[in-house]
Amino acid sequence: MSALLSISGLVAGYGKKTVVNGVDLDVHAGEIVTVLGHNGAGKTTLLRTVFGLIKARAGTVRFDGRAITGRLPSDNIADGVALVPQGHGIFRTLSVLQNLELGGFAITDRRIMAERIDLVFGLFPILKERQAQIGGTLSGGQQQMLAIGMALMSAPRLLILDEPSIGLAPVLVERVMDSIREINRSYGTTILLVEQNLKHGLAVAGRAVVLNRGLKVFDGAPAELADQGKLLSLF
Amino acid sequence: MELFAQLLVNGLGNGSYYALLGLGFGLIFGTTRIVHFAYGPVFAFSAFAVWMAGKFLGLPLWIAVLFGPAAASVGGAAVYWLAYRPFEQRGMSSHSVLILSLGLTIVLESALTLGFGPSIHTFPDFAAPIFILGPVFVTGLQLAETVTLLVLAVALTRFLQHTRYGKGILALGDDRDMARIVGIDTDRISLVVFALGSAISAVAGVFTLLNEGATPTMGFYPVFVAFVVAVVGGLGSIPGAIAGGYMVGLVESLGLWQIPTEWQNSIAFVLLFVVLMLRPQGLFVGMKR
Ligand SMILES: Nc1ncnc2c1ncn2[C@@H]1O[C@H](COP(=O)(O)OP(=O)(O)OP(=O)(O)O)[C@@H](O)[C@H]1O
Ligand SMILES: [Mg+2]
Repeated sequence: MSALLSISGLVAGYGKKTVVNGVDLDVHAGEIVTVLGHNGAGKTTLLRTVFGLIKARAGTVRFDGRAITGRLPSDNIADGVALVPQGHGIFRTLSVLQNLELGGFAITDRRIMAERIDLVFGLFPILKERQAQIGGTLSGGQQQMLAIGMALMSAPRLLILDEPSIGLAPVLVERVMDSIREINRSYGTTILLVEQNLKHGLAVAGRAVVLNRGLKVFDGAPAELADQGKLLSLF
Repeated sequence: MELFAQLLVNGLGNGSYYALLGLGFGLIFGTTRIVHFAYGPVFAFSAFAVWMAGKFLGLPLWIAVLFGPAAASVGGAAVYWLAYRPFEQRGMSSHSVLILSLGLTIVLESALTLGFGPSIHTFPDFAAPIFILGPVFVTGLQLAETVTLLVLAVALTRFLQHTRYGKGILALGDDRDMARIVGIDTDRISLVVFALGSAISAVAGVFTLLNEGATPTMGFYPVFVAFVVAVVGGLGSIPGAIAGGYMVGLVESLGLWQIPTEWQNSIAFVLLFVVLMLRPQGLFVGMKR
């Protein structure tokens, strides 16, 4: 079976520095793949390059069989790829509802907009309660749910999440990971997830990938990584 | 007391004018974070466009004034697309963009001087009506400035809240990176913001033409006031620009009661300084727009 997302030989960086150094990675439809790696390993750079926010210096990205290397984020969204960025993935001065509408910026049909918003409210009922509240005044967990909700507004086939659990209390990490699992199960959305939290990142993953200094050093079953010795040697 | 009442009326009239300036400048600055000093020559250009429409095309005032916002929006959009955008795309620092903006101001002012000469140009056969209301007199221009400010502020608020482009503008002003992530074409939104902000500045430009006539350097003081108003009010906030405009207008006018006229232009900067000391983020920042 051919992969939904297929990255090959991808190179990216900033200025003179190369940060992603020839990464190959396939993600199949319906999978949850977790990318692990130390701080500065190049995980965020990899995701942002795939999404078209950073120019690839070499290599190709294919989505659904077509080369999408260097394509604009707006085209990626229209084609079913969405990114939840690291940190605050929301507009902090705008209301929850305005944020969700912006997540669905490409939607011109009011009915579809309303349906998608309802769908997000179904997944995260707290957002419905807080729909008039300004994004920046939500708690960290609620902001993360809003960020995920915004990405879902475009009904993506591939959802890319960059450390959605960062800075959250353990009980909220569970809640966010559960919702990722639920999105994958209910809508068949393929998930590419970067996670620092090993325990949760591995628990949700169907497959794990480890990046080290811009290179892929592991690609396999999460269980293989659960062996602490193996993990340490890779980081 | 009569002097005070008259100064108050003048302050409110000027306040409306300053608020218009701050509204356009703040929209551009608050959304794109570009300190657009070339707002000044674009403002002057709009006044000359109206002057030419009256002088050479012989158009009546009410049609000629439409040339102001039209010329300014084309001019402002061109400045963004041809000058600022290439700099932004190369990832130049905000300092380089600031220097570009200052350089551009000088070049454009020189071009206007070459084209029109340094003399004062007035709209043919125009005299503003004056109304006497009890102890004070109010000019038709002061009333028109206040009415256009209110109409434009309401229209702009509704545009930002309810249209696709408006929402894109709010998003870009909030977080550029996030705007790209949700698929907003940030270059196009910036272009729209430059066109719109410049058109608003042109409304003030037309009032200057009618009040005192147009000169190539007429935008020099207004762009500084626009900057002060936008910063005092809180960047990109509509209520902030209005409050900032009236504050500068009133302080400047009522200040004349006690302070010699020579200091009038400095008052705005003293105000800026005081507000920034007390509230560095501006008066209205963080408020929903
Ligand atoms: N905008 C940037 N400009 C210059 N260098 C950058 C930029 N963003 C990241 N870097 C550098 O690139 C390297 C990889 O960063 P990246 O953010 O991709 O790592 P990461 O694996 O996501 O790390 P973390 O787990 O801390 O998020 C780091 O050395 C970082 O300092
Ligand atoms: Mg990262």
